[in-house]
Amino acid sequence: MKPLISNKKNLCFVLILLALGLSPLLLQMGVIQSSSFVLFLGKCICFSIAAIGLDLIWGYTGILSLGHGLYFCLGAYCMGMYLKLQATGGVITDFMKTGGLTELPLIWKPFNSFFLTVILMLAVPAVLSGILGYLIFKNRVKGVYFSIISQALTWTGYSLFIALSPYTNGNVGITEIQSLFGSIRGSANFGHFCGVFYLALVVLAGVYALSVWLTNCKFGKLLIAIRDGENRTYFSGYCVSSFKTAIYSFSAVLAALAGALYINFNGSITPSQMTISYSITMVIWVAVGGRGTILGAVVGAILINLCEYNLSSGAMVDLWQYLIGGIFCVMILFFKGGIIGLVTEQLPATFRKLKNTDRKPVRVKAKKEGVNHA
Amino acid sequence: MPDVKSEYILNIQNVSVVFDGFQALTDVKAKVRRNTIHFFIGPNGAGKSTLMDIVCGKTKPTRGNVTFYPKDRSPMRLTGMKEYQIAQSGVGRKFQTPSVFVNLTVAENMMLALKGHKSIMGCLFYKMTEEEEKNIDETLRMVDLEAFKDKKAGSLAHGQKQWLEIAMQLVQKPDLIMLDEPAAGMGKPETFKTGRILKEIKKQYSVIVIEHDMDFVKQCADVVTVLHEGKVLMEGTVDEVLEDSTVQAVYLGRGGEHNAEH
Repeated sequence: MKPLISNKKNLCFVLILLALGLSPLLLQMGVIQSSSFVLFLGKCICFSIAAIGLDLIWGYTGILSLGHGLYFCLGAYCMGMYLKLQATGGVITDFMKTGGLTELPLIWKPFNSFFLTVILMLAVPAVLSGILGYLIFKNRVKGVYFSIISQALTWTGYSLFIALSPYTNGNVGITEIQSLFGSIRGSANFGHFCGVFYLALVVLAGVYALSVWLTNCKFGKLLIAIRDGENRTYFSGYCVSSFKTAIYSFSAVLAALAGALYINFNGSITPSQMTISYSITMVIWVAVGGRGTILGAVVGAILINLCEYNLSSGAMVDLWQYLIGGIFCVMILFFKGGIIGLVTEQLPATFRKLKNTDRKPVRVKAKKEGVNHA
Repeated sequence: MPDVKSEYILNIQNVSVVFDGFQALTDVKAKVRRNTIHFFIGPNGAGKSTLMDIVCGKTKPTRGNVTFYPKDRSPMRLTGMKEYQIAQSGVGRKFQTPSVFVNLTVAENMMLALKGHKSIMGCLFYKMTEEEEKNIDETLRMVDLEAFKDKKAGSLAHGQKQWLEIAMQLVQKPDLIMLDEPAAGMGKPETFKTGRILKEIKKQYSVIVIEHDMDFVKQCADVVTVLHEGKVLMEGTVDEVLEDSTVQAVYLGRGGEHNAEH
């Protein structure tokens, strides 16, 4: 029974992947009119990757991080600086000149090389989260205390990036950049857009497959064990803190990967993605989709963002924030498993209940048995 | 002391603990023989669970040492080791409230408890051997949970959870098993069955038990140590302990039997 359900989930993911993959073609054929919508779908792919990472530590391991925006931005800034330097030809950028620098600072020099950029874009968040995670988890900080620390971390990052304006362009961030394949705007650059879009899609598929494998092997079972009973896990002979550090680091890398892809679609990155509220938005994606299932993270990220895309402009613009807050509360209160939990567990359970009430004789018999036992 | 190595599995030497000025344990000495069921009894607050916490590394003693003599290996000083290192070296512990992984199946619970593959890499590329699977099946049969193998541990009854947690200790083949109130919340027949399981276990392992239920103690204790206000009051066989007037005064007369009702 169980492999069947998980196969169904994988099937569902493949369908989502197909639908996403077809969207640029549909745009080309004219079925989809709005090119900005397809561009937005590209961003949704990136959000899904970040959501999977968050689901691994929150949904599976029970560590609620409210600061993943930090890692998302680290990835995005790394990629952003590479793209910016591509545009300037590897020399100092305008905002650095305005900030008083005379030549490209040492920390940005490696970002002239694509190879080094990819390495650093993944290594910087991995090392940072590794060190932080090691210190936090070794001292057995958990629960809400960890969440508060994670918020403080992203806030520190936000303040730093604004304060170091000559290096990061402060509030404005890195703007006016093209994607890895060149400009993606306009129908003339449709090929470039497809390049970025399908690259993101392939990365999402890879991340999904890796995460499903991870959660199905003993490592994944151990993550659930840590969530269910951390003490029991320690006393079963596992060094829980190193497992927590590992999964925290892995999810940070996924967030960075998502950020790096995102900037290709968005064309700019600002510190606003490092704020606490943005990090909490990521948590909402996972909560609504269904924590503890990789598919749930993907579904949640895409659905919430699609809603936001459609509702946050026009008449609903003022209401949107309230609406998403309301959705979050309702989900946490009544549908703990999110949309996936609703479809795979809560609805079938309700149907079974309804069926049982239809067959009254069975119920009476069960009652009689109960009396006999008593 | 070569004779100690052959005869005893655990040596608790002059252990004292102070919590914020409160003397929880004072100069506790106890030796646990191999292949026996050693009970620690005493009124609430006597320091029984604290003593267990010290052995398994959850609490650090203010003074004193705990030495562990595993079979076929050199003795090790448990004080100062991390709890997961102690667990890996062969000391299993069952907690007072059943703590199993409720969202995993019974078989998965057992799989995680198995000996070895406790590192991150070990977990990533772990594949269960046939021998391990047989070990799990046999252990589950012992506690009558074989039929529940693929059920989630959270759906088990209270007593079954207790047994599952005991089985999780057994399956990792430790040298010493510590059980904190294994019969808590169980009815008489279940408690009796737990006693039978313990007697079965002791053929292979050494067992330390904390328990209030005197019938249970009578059923399976080889040695009983009575703790009172953080000190060892006396140690002996069940009969010796039950007849002792001081023990009757501080514990039994004051509700030892009453406790058993709960």
